[in-house]
Amino acid sequence: MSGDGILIRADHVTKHFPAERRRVLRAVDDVSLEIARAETLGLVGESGCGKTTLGKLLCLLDEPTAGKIWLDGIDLLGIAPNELRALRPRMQMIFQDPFSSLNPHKTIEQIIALPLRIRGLQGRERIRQRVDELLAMVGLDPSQARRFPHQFSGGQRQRIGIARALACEPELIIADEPVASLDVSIQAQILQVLRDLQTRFHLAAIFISHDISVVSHVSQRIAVMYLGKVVELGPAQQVIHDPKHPYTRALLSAVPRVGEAQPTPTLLPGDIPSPLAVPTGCRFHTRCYLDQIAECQSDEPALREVANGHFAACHLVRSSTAD
Amino acid sequence: MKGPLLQVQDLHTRFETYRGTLRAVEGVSLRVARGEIVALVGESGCGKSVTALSIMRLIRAPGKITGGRVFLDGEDLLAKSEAEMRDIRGGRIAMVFQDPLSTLNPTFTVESQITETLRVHGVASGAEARSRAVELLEAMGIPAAKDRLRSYPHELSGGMRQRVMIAIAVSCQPELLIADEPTTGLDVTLQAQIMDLLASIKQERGLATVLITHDLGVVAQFAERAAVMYAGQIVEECPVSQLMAEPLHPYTRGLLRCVPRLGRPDVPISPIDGVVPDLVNLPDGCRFAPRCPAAMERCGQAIPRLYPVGGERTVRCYLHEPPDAPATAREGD
Repeated sequence: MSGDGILIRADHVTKHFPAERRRVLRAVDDVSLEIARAETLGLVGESGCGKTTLGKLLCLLDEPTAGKIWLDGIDLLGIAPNELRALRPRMQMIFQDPFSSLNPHKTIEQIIALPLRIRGLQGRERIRQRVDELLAMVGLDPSQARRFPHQFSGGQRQRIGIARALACEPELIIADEPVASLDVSIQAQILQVLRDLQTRFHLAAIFISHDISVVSHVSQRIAVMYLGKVVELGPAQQVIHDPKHPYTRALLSAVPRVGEAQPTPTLLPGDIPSPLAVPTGCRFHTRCYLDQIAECQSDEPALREVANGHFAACHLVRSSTAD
Repeated sequence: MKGPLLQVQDLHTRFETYRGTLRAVEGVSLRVARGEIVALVGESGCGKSVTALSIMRLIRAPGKITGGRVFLDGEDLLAKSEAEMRDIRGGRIAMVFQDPLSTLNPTFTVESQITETLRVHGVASGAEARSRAVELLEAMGIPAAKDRLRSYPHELSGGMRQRVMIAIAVSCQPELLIADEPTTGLDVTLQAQIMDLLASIKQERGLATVLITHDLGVVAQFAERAAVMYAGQIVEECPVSQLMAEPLHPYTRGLLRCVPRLGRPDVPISPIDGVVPDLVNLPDGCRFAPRCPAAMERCGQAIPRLYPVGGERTVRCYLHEPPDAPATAREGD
């Protein structure tokens, strides 16, 4: 047990995928972050920024090209496969698409019972009882356990996915766009289920979403990604109300507001560059609207503390901690 | 004074399914003035897209428009021949869909898809059509427009594809644009670009727009008036500012409470219990009554009418029934 309350730590984690013509797709580039027990970290960014890949790396569903990942002080990349397998129940993932993440040939009971069996729970009656408990926890009627996934709505399927993740009694949940495909009234139901369970079981969570409004409601801290890098990281309300990085500022200005005045959106020119051809220097410099300095095109800015616990990777952001 | 550009009156669209009749749209009425942006907002299955397709007469079997009228500048579209409708679609009324990858033809270049529209509607052909296509792409903010003409849809990014779709839609100078979830699935920075484009097109050309969306944020930002749909019916219609400031229908109120407010953790998200009704087995009475926290006995008996509340506002709820209202109208009246 580590005493510092840190549950998972990523240290300079990088994931490069080989692409055709010997090119390299830099999905995640040198990301370091840590999550405390029972904390929720929101991971936001647009399509292709690497947030899903980072989520998969953190629970070792994919192996990083470089860097280290520590769970509770254990180096996950330095242990034997069977030791890693024994640790896997502690980190569980909830996927975006409740249609493709549940086996259509299995009943709900079979889907949720599988992780229970793998974890060594025996006896048909005990397993059934535990499945019923889990279904009730996520607000589903246990009498529906013999049904198949297609007999459920999108929101119900997402509840099933959550019940399956909870079957392992995890300490960390990695939720990848868990509400992205749901209508807003159903989305609110699922967010409530997740929040209740997190409080009840003291779960740490990484909440991956393109929707900053949702993330701002569930997270204590927010990390903003752009083209494989974390460009800003800090306490959620601080990042939302006092964003430092120009990308974060543009992103927030574009979020449509309900019930309050809309800031004039800062329209970013063009599209996000390809991760196959990452710009030199600051990755954002090709779309940045600030007055740039020479370093912007030559040096990659490091993530540095610009206010208490608030980090940004930009040459042009002044620190308010050092004076 | 001229009447509204688009007027939908008591529209009914049904689908015959093996389970029975699915009542997708029931008694929808809508007016859109020239140059106005009206949002049709609601969740999956509320009938907003079917309403749009009905306006365009694009409902195919087993679906059928079973009642109502659709007037474009005073002409009844439901009385037009199929040949006349073909001229109107893409000509006077254009449509932009959610997914440009599945609406653009993957086997033709951008050029051929834009010039085809111009040619079919007799606007331009040959070299003139080609130069018009370049102008349109430039007006949509597409860089290196000339080179892009030779591109196939798969070679373009999502934002570019949506710009091409919009270029095709406005190519024949339509009077009405129906945009069905035009930015759904796009990232917010791209969404801001596309909505900015639609707003400037509206400014420049005085284009009336029906904006179909599930996103209340998009409604708040871009629409002037909104009609909220639930289970095939409009439940509330009013200027957007009123809708956001003081929603009246219990469904609209619940829906707005489901929307997470950016950076406002003090405004909690509270879900609406239950699920939308099955459109084949609709409840008697108000369709929202089974989920409504304010439901009364009569709500389960007969469907409330759209009651006028103040100037431009209507609400389908007994809580807002004027005291001198006549006896409850039966469904379809």
